[in-house]
Amino acid sequence: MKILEVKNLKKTIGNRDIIKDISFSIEEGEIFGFLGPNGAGKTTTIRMLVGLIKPSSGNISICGYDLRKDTENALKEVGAVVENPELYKYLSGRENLMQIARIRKVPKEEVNEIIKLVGLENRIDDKVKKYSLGMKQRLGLAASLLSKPKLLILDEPTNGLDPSGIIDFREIVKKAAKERGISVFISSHILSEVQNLCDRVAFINDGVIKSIESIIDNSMETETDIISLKLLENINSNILSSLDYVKSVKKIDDKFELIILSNKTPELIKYLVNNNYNVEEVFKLRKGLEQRYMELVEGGIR
Amino acid sequence: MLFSLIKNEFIKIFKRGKTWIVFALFLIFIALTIYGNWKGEQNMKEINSPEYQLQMAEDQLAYYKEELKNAEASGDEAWIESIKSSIEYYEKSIELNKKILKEGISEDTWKTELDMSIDNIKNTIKEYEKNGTKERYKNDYISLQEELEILEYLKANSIVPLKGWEYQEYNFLESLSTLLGIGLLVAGIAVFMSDILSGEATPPTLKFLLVQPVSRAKILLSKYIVSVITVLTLIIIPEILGMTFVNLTSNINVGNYPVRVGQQYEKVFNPEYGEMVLEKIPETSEMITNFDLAVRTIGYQAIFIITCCSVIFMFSTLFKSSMISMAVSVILTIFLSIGTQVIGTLRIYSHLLFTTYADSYNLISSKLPLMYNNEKLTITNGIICLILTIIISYLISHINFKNKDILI
Repeated sequence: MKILEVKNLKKTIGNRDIIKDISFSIEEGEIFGFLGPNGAGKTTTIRMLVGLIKPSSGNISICGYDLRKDTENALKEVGAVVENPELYKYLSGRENLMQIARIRKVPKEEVNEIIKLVGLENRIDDKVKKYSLGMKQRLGLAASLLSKPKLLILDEPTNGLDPSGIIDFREIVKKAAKERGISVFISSHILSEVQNLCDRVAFINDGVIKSIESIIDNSMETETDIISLKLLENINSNILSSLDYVKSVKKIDDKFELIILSNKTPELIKYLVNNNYNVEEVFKLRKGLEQRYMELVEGGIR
Repeated sequence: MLFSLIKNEFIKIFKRGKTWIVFALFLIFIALTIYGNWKGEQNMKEINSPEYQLQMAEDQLAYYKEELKNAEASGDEAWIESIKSSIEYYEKSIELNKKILKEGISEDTWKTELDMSIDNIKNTIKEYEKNGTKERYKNDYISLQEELEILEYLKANSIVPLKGWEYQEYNFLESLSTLLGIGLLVAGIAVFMSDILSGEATPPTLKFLLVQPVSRAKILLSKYIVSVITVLTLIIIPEILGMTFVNLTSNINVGNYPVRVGQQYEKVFNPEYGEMVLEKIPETSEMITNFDLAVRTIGYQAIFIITCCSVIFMFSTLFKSSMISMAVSVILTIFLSIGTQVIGTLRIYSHLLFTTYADSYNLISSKLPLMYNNEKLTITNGIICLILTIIISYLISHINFKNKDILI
């Protein structure tokens, strides 16, 4: 079952086309990454998904409910943290959650359960103004998990978190998705975050989805590899360029940087050894998702 | 759902430090007004006391005796006569006050004085009628008849006439309403609730609220209901408590004292002044008690407060920054409040501006048209203006909030 379905979504603000016809869908229990540089249109898309801004055209349906026509039913199935979780600082963490619990008719026991899930039980009655950023993020996540949503939407959830905070956050999201069968839509510009968390990823740039691809074993199929090569002998770069699987060659100091078709590195080494070149050093400059991101978003090598 | 939202908003509004600060300031303001009324009565009592009058008469007598020497030296007979008559007046005054000090004032003196006043007014009215000047001095003639009606009511009900400066709850209400009417009420409400919605844009907690499964219309309505109820409660309850306090600490009970309300005016050309002036329209006013006046004043003030809340709420919806919404609300409302009092052109249109109706006591007691020289400042026009302002402001807030993109 499709939890979220986005069709031909467009948004124009003033004369600028911010989102230019994007479509994608998320299956039940899937963690879906939304990857792109700052200004690519990630937050605008998310704001449209949660009804904060209205699309110029296109359709969003959540669990079969049209967001535009049936907003309340559609949003019942959604928990969201848009950018930083901005909570009421003058209220306690518990009261912040209760504000939502009252609207969504969530019993107090379930609120306590969520507080435990995000590990805030010792500080939940403190005012939010006394919270660290990490604690605010956890509270925001707790708020979004109340009422057991079928879709969790997180926008740059680890912004400003320290490394251990990022790891904790990731674990909570994974646990919530696994235990509760929640689909997660997570936007980020941090490659490792997406790579470690997501099942599929959409690459967005300049308001357009460039590609949607699967992540398997924390990695991704790529079209090309970028490798760094150092030989003990001199070699004319034309020799390397003439190989049919080599796309480009660039000499940097005493090394070469080559873009070659993916999985052709062993073939290249074999060729060099057979032609009496001694390979001192060879390695992939970027791997998996990082390489794919460069290909799709940055237009290749940088 | 709306009930849950309302409960949420009540929790938020009463957990804000600002609510309590503004409320404490209002309580201080009420306490100061009570003190001002009490002090005013003390001063007036002192001025009217036989001891003070005696002292003043003795001082004046000594002065005129000195002055008499100068007059006699100058040989100016008219001057001498004038001073002698003053000396005679102050000697009588000294004698009278000494007698009062010695024997005290009879409890029934006011009745004799009231009878004398009634006779005086009746005679003056007869004079107007006999001379045929009642049309020429229509305003004075109507005022005398109204005054006579009040004095006769006092006599019939054995009510001691008031001097006007007594420390009592209705004078307190009048002072409070006048002070609030010069812009303080509007400014206070503007400070209190101009960030009721825009405050959720900085920091953007509104996002937290709007991603919940509830329509924007309900969110807006719950915020509106809660802010209006809060402002009404925090203003009217302290006012009533203030009146109760004054009532308990005052020596007089004047709830049944008669007052005139509902007087209507028309603009007529006055050849003596050479300009248009307001003249009373006969038989448009009615006599009610102080208690009724207070009930009407507070009821009317409630409508004004709701209007004021609606306008400020609209600004709070239109602007993303709480600083801007507060600045616009405070500056615009204060400008309108004060501007209509001092700028002639604005006064002509003052009946169309809600801020003019802030002083509910003077509107109910028909003094507002004279203050603004605008005969259109009637209670009916006031209610129409306020209700239209409420509807328009809320509609603008609703349309804006329902359709706007939240880009914060």
